[in-house]
Order: sequence, then C-alpha cells, then structure tokens
Amino acid sequence: MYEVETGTLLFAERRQEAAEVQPPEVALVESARAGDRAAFERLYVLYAPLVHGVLLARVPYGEVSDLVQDVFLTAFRKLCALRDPARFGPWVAIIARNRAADFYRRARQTEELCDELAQGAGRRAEAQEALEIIRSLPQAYRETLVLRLVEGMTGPEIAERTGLRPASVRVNLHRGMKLLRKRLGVKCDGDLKEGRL
Amino acid sequence: MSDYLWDKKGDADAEVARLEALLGAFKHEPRPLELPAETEMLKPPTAGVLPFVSRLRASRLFAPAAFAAAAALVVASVLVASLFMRARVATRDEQATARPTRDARGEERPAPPETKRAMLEPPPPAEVKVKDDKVAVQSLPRRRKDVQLTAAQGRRLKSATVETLTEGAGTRDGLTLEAMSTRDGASTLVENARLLTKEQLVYALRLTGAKLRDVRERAQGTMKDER
Repeated sequence: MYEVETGTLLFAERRQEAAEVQPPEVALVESARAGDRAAFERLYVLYAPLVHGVLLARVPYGEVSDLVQDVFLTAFRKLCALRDPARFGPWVAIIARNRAADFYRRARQTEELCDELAQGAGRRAEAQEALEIIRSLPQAYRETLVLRLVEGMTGPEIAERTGLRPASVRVNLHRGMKLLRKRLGVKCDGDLKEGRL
Repeated sequence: MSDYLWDKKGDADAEVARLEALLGAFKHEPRPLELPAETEMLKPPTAGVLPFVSRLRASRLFAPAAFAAAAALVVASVLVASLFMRARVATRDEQATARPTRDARGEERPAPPETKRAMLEPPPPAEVKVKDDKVAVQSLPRRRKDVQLTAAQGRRLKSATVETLTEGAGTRDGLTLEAMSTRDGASTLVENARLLTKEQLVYALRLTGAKLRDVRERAQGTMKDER
C-alpha cells in the first residue's frame, strides 16, 4: 500500500514537473491553432531543418526545398488534428516521410545530375557521392546521419526533435557511421574494431 | 567511442569533421514560409462535440468493428423478424381452430377443444318430441333426400383436395385459407368433415329408430283394438 502510494506520488510529481517544463512548441502550436500565423512561422523556423533532413535522406536535393514548403503547408492545414502539441516534431517528420513517399509515387524516376557532377569534378561532386552513399544505408541510419552530418544537429537535439529515445539515436548514429565508413573505404577507428558500439 | 559524433564535445573525429564540412553544402538554407493567404486550418468534424468519436474513428480497428457491428445488427433483425412471423402464424392457427364451426343444419357450434376428444364425444342430442302420436324430429333435415345429400357432401369433403375444400367447405366449416395452408389446418378440416358425417349418420339412425318405434306402437295399438 505504501509503495503504491509512493509510486502514485512520484508519478504525480513527475507529471507536475513535466507540466511545468513544457517545450516551447506547445505554446506556439496553441497560438497557431488560435489563428496566429506568426506562431506557425516560428514553428517553421524551429523545425525546417528537421523536415529538410528527413526529406534529403529520401528525395533529390533539388526537390527538397519545395517539398519542405509543401510539408509545412500540409501541417498548417491539419494542425487541429495534432493531439499532443508537445509532439509537433515527430508529427511533422511523419508528414515529411509521407510526402517523400508520395513524391516517388507521383514523379517519374529521374537521375539527379548537378552541374558540378556533370563536369566530373569539384567538391560538390564528392559531397553528392557521400550523400548518395548515406541514402543507400538503412532508413534508421540514413535519417539520423543526415540530421547529424548535413543539418549539424547533435544527438540530443535529434532525439528531442524526432521523438526518438536518446539511446536509439546514439545507436543509430554509431552503427550508421560504421557502415558509412566501410562504404567510403575508410577504416574504422580502434573503438569500432573492438566492437564496443 | 567518439563523443564528438554524439554531442560535438571532446576531440573532433577527423572523418566526421570532414564529412560535416563536405555535406554542409546541402544544409537547409533559411527561406521564408510561403503560406497562401486563403489557406485555412481544417477543423476536425466532431472534435469539439464528441472527442471520443473522433478518437474512435481514428483507430485502425474502427472499420472492422463497424462492419462487425453492422453484420450483427442485420443478423439480429432477421432473427427478430422470423420470431415475430412465427408467433403471428401461431396466433392465426389458434384463432382458426377456436373459430366456431357450423354443423349440417347450418347452426354455429363452437369448435371442440381437442380434436380426439371431440371425435369421441357424441353430438348434441336432438330434441325428439312425441305429439299427437306422431314423431316430430326437430332441427333435422325435413326429408330423407336432404339427409342423403348432406351425407354425400360429407363424403366429398372427406376425399376432396385442399383447393376444392376451400371453395366448398371454407365458409361452412369456418376454415380460412391461412388455416388450411398449414398442416394443422388441413387436419382440422378433415376432422370436421368426419364429425359432420358421423353426426348425419347418428341422425339418420335416430330417425329410423323413431319411425320403427312409431310403426311398432301403431301395430301394438291395432292389435289391442282387434282384441
């Protein structure tokens, strides 16, 4: 009985703490629902890198910018369907994944060929090659690696924005990096060889 | 394990730093959000009034559950309808058997409660009065020819089909089409025809007996007169 009461009290305390430490997007989502477009633009600024990274892991770079706008337009129209305002990040990431799948469903398969790659030289060609290798990785790794290496987010930021557990993001980062190194022809460092990851 | 890959702290991993610099070219470039002015938020249809309904509809199990509920409703309605029809038919049968029947004389007579018992019971006795040394049989057919005709009708009824019985005896025996269309109704009709025949036979025997008694009394009276 005592344990149950203690557990209940602890649960109530945690809920109270969680209510007190609300993420900033909760207020922004509520304001946007009330019709405040500026609040939604603030949400766009906060989460555009996440959506950009999720899309970049799936669709050609030239299409990403327009698709980001499409995703946020869809998010604005369906914002009332969002149950938990604190989960705006995972929700908009799901919209982005669905939009990327929809892009391949509608568009004809085309090969991306940027100017630098066409010329066969340049630093961007190397970057494009690396990005293609990341895209060939399993889905869980490529999205995390793009957010980390392209968008410059840290592991905790990725976990917070995508709604994944930090431990999962950490595992995905290191396993994905190990695969990427292997495919890039770079030998793993000593820690990776010992298999501590 | 490199901490730099996780939180960018500690010594920078050369390979990670090189990839960051290389892939940084694809980083998101801030661009103002282009929301059309006429774009409006879609309001959930029932979120304000019935939030649990919208949650229920959002569930993956809503469609199969709704289909199962509809199927159960259809089955239940069919069962109820069949039970109702059965009860109605049973009520009609009871009404048809309890309806008063007419005997050979055209008088209404309540139907017997049980068919077998009715067959064993004798018909109601006819009033026989002796008046002025003559036998007067009341409520009997006037002539012997009438008795023969009614007996012949009874025989026809006994061997007739259900359709002919409907025409000939439907009104006389108080049977309806619905009653005859059932198995019990048809058997009731046959039983009624049998009772009618038996009744007519008893009447004929009584009439014959009464006549014989009359003749015997007359004969005895003549012998007394002679003596």
